[in-house]
Amino acid sequence: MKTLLLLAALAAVTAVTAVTACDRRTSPTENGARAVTGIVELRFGSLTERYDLRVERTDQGFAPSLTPIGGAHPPGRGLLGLAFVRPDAGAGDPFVIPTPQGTVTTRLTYRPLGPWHVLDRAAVSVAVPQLGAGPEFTVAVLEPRLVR
Amino acid sequence: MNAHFNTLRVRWAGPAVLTVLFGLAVTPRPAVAAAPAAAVAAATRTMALPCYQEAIAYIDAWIAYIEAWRDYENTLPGGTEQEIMDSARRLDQAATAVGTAGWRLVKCLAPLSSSGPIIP
Repeated sequence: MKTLLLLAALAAVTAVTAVTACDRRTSPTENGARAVTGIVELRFGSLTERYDLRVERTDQGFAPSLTPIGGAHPPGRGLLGLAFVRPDAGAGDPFVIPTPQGTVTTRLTYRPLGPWHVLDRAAVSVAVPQLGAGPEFTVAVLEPRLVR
Repeated sequence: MNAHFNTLRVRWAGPAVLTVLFGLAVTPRPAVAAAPAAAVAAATRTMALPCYQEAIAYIDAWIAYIEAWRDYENTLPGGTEQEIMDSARRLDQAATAVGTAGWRLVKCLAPLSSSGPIIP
């Protein structure tokens, strides 16, 4: 009986160790991913602007940098804080904001990339009673890649 | 039973009830006036919805773009080269303004769509 109990205890300890090891194997730190690169494309009507994106993983979080491609306007400092990369996918439900002029609807979708999630597409649409619906504004991250 | 009811018929009961009713009648009520429509509209504009100001800025820029687009279309048929170039420049500026406002709105909303903590 004593031997059986000892064997059961040993099995339990082994199982706990194995689960912990699996958890560590899938964590971002041991995954080796350091950054995400891609192309940010901003579209509205006739406007198309593209930026080279690099998001570094730092101790404090994610630090994005954008380099204009072609004739794109340099991004203002206030625009850099957009969460291009984050640890979770998010809810995916649209944000509907009614205003006195009309309704603004925004949908954000993130897709998994290694241990993180990268902005796939953000689309802002507008419905104004007198004007109807017009062109959408979109921000998309194209060709996202992990840098190890 | 009758004796019990008779105990309630006291001399001061009638004047006391009348005094209370009179007091209630003359006590001024707090004024509950209907708020003017302009005040309601102003309150709506400044209400604390998340990213509300960014949405207002976006829709303002969007409406300006639609107006610039209509102006451009009206200029095309009989406008001079200079007029067409000017309206095209205004359309380009309006589209850029929508891009900036849209980016600000998306940046504001992104953390709110998270199901967990956002690491900036």
